[in-house]
Amino acid sequence: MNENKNKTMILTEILDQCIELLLSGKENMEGCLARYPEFKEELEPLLRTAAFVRAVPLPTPSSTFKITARQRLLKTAETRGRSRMAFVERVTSVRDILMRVTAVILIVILVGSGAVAASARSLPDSPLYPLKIAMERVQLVFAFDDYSKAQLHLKFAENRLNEIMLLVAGDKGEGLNTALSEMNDEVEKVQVMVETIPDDRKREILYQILELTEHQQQVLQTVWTKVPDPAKGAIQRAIEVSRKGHEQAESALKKGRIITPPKPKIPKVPKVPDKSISPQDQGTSTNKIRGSKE
Amino acid sequence: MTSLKTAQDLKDIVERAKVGDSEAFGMLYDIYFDRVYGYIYYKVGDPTEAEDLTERVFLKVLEAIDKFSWKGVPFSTWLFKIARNLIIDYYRARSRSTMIPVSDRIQTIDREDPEEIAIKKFSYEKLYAAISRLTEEQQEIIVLKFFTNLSNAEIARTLNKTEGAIKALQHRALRSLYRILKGESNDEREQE
Repeated sequence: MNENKNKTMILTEILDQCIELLLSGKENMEGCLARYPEFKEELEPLLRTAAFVRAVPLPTPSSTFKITARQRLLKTAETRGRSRMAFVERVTSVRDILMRVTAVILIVILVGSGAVAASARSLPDSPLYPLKIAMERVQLVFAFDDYSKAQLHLKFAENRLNEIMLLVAGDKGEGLNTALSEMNDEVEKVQVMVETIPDDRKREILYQILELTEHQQQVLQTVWTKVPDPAKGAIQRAIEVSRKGHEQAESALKKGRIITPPKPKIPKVPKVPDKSISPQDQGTSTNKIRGSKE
Repeated sequence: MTSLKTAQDLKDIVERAKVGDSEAFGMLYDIYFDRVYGYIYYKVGDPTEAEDLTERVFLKVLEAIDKFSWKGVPFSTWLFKIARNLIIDYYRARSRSTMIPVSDRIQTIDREDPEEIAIKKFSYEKLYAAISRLTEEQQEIIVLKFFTNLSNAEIARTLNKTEGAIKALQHRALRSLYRILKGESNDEREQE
C-alpha cells in the first residue's frame, strides 16, 4: 500500500519534470521516456496526453476585436491617468495650504509665549534649540519658489556657522557635531536647489554660495586649531563639503560665462566675542592647518 | 508585440502603469491578452463571451492596478485571479457550475483559411469536450498549465494551493483526460 503511494508520488514528480521540459522545448517525449525507463509504461500515456493538449493552438479572438478593445482600454487609461494627476495636484495644493495654516497657528502660539524670541539666541546644546530649527523650517514653508528657499538655506548655513563659532568660543563641545552636520546639509540643499532656479537669478545665488563657502572655510580652519582632536574629523569633513560647494559654484559660473559678480546680499557674519580666537590666529589659520598636516 | 527581457522589465512596466501611464498599460495588454483570452475561452467555451470577459478583466486591472503590491505575489497571479473571479461571477449569474458545451460558435474565432479553421475547430472541439468532462479543479489545472504559461508556483498562488498539490492535481487531471480521450471514461465529475 505504502509502496504504491510512494511510486505514485515519484511518478507525480517525474511527470511534472517531464512536462516542464516539454513545455520549455528542452526535451521531446522520447527523450523524457528514455530518462526514466522504469516508469515508461505509466509515463507514456500521460505525456502523450500532455503533448496533445499542448499541440492544440491557443484560441485567438478576432484581430479586429483585439485592436478595438485595446483602443477602448487605452482611452479609459488615459482619462483615468489625467484625472489621477489632477487629483494628486489638488491634494498637494490642499496639503500645502494646510501646512501653511498650521504654521501660522504655531507661530501665533509660540510668539505669544515668548519662547520663539528666547530660542533665537539658543545654541545646539540648549533645550530651546529644536524650537529655533523648527521656526527656520516654518520660514521655508512660506518661501514660494526655489530662489527664496535657496536664500533661506544660505541664511541657515550662516546661522549654523555663527553657532559653531559661539560654541568654540564658549569652549562647548556638546552640540558642535549637530551644528556642523546641519550646516553641511544646508550647503548641500542649496547646491541641489540652484539647478532649478531660473538663469537670471541663479548667478546671484551662485555668488552667495561662493561668499558663504569662502567665509566658512576661513572660520572652520580657525576653529579646527582650537578644538580637541576628537572633534577635528567632523570639522575637516565640513571644510571638504564647503570646498566642494565652492568649486561647484565656481564651475557653474564659468560655464555660464558670468564674470562680473553682483553686489553680495548676505550680511557679513556678526563679530563674535571670541576670547580664544585672535584675529592673528584667523589670519594664519590656513597655514597652521597646512603646517599641522605636514 | 511587447517583449520582456527580464522580470525587472515587467516590474518597470507595472510600476509605470500604476501611476497612470497608459502606454505601459497597453504593453501589459499586449503581453497578457492572448493568455487571458485562452484561459477564459476554455472556461466558458464561447468566443464572444470570452472576448467580453477578457475586456472586463483588463478594465478591472486598470481600476485596481494602483493598489497592486509586489508583496511576494507575481503580477500574473494577480491578473489571473481577477480573471478567475470574473469567470466565477459569470457562472454565478447564469447559475451554472460547469463549462458550456462547445458549439458551432467556434467558427467565429478568426478569419483564416477554411481548411485551417476546420482543423482548429476539430482540435478545439475535441479538447474542449474532453476538458469539460473533468472536475472543476482538473479543468483549472489543465487550462492554467497549458494555455497560460504560468509556473507551478504561480498556479498554486492563483488557486490557493501548495505546489505539491498542484503537481498531484496535474497528474490526476492528465490521467483522467487520457481516459476520456481514449473513450474509457465518460465523465470524471461523476466519479468524484
